[in-house]
Amino acid sequence: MKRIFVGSILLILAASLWGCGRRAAEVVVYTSEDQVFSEPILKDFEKETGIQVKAVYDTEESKSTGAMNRLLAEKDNPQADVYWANEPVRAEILRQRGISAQYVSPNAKGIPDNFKNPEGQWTGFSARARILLVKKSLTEKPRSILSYTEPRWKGRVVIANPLFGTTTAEIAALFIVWGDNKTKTFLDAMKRNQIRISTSNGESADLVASGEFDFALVDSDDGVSRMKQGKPVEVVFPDQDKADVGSFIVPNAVVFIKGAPHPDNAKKLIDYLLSKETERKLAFAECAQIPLHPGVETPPVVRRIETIKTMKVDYAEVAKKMQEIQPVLKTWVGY
Amino acid sequence: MTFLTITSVTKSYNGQSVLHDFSLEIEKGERLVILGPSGCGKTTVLRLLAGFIAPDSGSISIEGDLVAADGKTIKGPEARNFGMVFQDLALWPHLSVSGNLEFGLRAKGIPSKDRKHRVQEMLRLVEMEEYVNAKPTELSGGQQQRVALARALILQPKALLMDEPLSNLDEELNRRLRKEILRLQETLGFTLLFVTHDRQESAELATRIVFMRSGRIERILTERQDAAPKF
Amino acid sequence: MAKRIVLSSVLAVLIVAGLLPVLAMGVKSIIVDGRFSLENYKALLTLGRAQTLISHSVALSLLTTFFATIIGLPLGILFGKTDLPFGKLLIVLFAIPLLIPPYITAISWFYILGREGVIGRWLGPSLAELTSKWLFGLPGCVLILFSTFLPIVILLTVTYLKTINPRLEEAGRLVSDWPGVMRSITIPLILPGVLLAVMLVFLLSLGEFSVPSFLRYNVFPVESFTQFSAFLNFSAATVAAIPLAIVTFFVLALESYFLREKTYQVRPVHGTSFTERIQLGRNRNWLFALSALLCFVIVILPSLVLIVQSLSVNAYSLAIAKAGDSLIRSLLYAAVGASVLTVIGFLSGYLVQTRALPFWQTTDSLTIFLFALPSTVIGIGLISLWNRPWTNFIYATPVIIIIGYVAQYAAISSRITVSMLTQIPPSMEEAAQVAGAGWFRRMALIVAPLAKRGLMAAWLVGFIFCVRDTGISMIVYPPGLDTLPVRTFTLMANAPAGLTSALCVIMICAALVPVGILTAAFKARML
Repeated sequence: MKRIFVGSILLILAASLWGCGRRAAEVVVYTSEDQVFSEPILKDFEKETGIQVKAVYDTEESKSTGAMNRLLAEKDNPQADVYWANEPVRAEILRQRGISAQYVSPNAKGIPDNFKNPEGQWTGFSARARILLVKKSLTEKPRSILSYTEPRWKGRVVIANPLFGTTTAEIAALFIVWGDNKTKTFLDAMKRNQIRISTSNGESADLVASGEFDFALVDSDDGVSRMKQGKPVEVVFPDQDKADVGSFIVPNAVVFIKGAPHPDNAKKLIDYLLSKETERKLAFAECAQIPLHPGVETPPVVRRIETIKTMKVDYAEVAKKMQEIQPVLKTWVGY
Repeated sequence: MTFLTITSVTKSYNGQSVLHDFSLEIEKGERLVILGPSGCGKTTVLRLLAGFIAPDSGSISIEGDLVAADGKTIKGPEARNFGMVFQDLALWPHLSVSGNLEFGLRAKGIPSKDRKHRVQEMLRLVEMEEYVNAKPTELSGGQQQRVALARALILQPKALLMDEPLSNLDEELNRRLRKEILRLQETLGFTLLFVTHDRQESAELATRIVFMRSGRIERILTERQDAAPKF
Repeated sequence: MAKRIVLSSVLAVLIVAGLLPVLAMGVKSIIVDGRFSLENYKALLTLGRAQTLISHSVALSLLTTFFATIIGLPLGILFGKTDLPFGKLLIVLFAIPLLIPPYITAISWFYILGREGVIGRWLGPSLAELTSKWLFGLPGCVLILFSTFLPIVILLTVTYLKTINPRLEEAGRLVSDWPGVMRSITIPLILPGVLLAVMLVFLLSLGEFSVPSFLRYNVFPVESFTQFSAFLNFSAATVAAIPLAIVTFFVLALESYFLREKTYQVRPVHGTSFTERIQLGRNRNWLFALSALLCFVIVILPSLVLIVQSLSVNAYSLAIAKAGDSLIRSLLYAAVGASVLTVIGFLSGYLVQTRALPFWQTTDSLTIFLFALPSTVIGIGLISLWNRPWTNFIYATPVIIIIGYVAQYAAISSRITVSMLTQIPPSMEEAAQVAGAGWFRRMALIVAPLAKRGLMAAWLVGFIFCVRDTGISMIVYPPGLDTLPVRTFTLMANAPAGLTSALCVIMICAALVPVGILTAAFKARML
């Protein structure tokens, strides 16, 4: 008797599980952009087009085993239509592994060329910049990332673990624009300056905000959020002088997945994400991201891309360089 | 034809020999008691007959049909049509007395009305009718014994196997139950296979006693045909 | 024979659900660029600090297990055997950290001991500096894992105490006082349960990497997995699981040598006289105070911090709005998962306990092996195996999550069943055999009802593990169908402060409420 009861409950539950199946007007997007920021955009898309969005979100970079891993694992039988990366290196990796497909969106027009793949395998939008978050009370402010090596800040500086995320990408970029020697010297000098290694940009930002350290190289949204919290910090865009390399820019990137189950809806979503309106929303959101289209309205705290001297690198090269410099970085961190 | 035949059975556990070249023939309707000290192998004989274990070598037949031979059980306990009373009685605590009795009948597919009838009859036979809905835990030792007997016999088995069922009972109860068993055997006519270490029990119950020691038969005594019984 | 078929299919299910995916991963790990290569393994061994990392891992696990046992065993005895007031309530409270992903406990301690935490605000920044250093290291990890796994020891102790034949203790009480009886009779009798708890806590803390990762204590799983997740090298992720697998085998071997042969006296008839509680007398008050204090520190305090942080009406409505659907799915998946696990566990436990078929030992070892494997390996293996067009009807639905649960958690329901079945005399099933019942009938009408308590316990425990599962769900959930722990993680990054806390509180309630209802029902029907 009880078996029948239990059995029928099981059947009902199983049936309801199965019921959560696929429906017609939908698009599947995997995203590494924080859910807090990406979800509103995706919900707006749903509202405006009526296409249901099914999303897989990611967790913090160093702990992530979510979206990216899944995309790679699902290569032979893709479940995703679109990948929304929060930095271009991941998009590049997908291209290198043959997971992306070509799509040049009409909304890609206007986005500077070095922020998109020439064949349309990925397109950048809404960027973060790598900036120095600096303690307001400092009489002399650092102006360049080379400040990390200056003795007056010995033991007072922090950087996020260069084995992960945007920090790795930036260091790889430096290897490209400065060359191996200068960059290696830079790394050693930082070490000699007793640089502290934190686990994430967020932690670096907190350490400067609490006054424990004088400045840190972090993402612009980490800086903006601490400023909005009223902490005694300010944002400095490093290396803006003529001879300098400029700030490293980290755009979001959208990728059309090869073999996407719903290709037409995928393209619609990509067009939507690359629109000026989306960039405007992301600029005004907590993440304070810098639009790459010219002439997009931004709040005062978000600098326009035209006013920033950006580091000119090929992200494809950066992606390759990142994998090459792994051993160097491992030794540097102390492995 | 002999009812039960055990031919040259050997059984070992963990390298220790428990039964060695054991042979025995059991006649229909007899009351056979296997008597011996603990560890002599008498319980093993019973479990071999019941079908829970198979002999390492040798064979066992029931009414001419081979049920176990050379390490394999050919007919399991479900199919041998024996009744058994275990040493710990093994009354199912989550079923009532009637539930315990009905279990085997249901397994046979006997319809509800017939089941109720047979349960009633059987309980009357063991004088436990008022306890039809009681749970085993509510019964005394002697009452549980009688229910265990009833459960074993309700399926009208060809033989009743009993594994030291009376050892936990006091003198009085023991004597009463022995009389019960005798009475039931005379009424229902099953073959009785009774394992014990107690001479008194065997004296009263047996038509034949098999003395066992260290896995072998020491000797066999048969009740004499003349009136004055007992060994 | 029906028995043979059913029991063999249990092993088959475990192999398909758990072993095959892992083997698929293993095969992948020795193929680099299409050729056979041990490159990944070499990389593992030359990982300069490999030894340090492994020793950190083992140190963390040993310390956690030590404290959990040394404190959990007396607590279990106090709650399960004495007249300590509010014993049952304390058990429930202590169990809370077990019901939630340990990451959450770590976060609440961060809010207390972190640089800007409660301590910092009330007692000054220099003290906070100290507590923060202490938190972000071995002591902090041990504190949190101890809080999380202590209830395992308590619960198993309490459960095994219930199965002791009171006659045995009564016999001892005739010649000795309670401490003596405890030492010579009670504790030896519950030893299998305690050792099972020790093994579970050790393996669980060894494979746990979300807490050491958050607290930056470099244990082996953390370094390997974060490195590999940064470079998306699955094969290497599998390789990184090898040391864990080796330790698991070792622990398994120890356990099978010491535990499997033990049989103890069983209660003759189910549910007779219940044991009298030990009177604590004068000791009652200070023992209660001590237990309550511990409970306050490791359970109430962190929970309070979470609740206080979450206290704005906005946070909860926001949380429900953002995660309400995932909450419902969590409960649904966990219920189904628990049911499937109970059935599989029951059959597997029966197979192991009765040694019905020659591969019983393989089955048992397989379940433990899968239990100890990091969820990443099982998850990615599941994708590799099931993500094909013709298996989409499984892969693209929550069924894949259930398969993951079965693979990872079967050991628990199996072992609970085994320990339950040990208490049932074999003569119960034999009597049914003699009465002519076939295997199915015996299992359904005799064995299962007698094991009812164990089955309910297995369901509850299965439910708890499924509800709090993060690793497996995170990797295989079909797009849009995530569970609450996964949703909390993804929302956590950059979420408003109160929201995270509100989500944690909701998660705690989500686990507690069904457990509470079921436990009440359980207690009502059985004695």
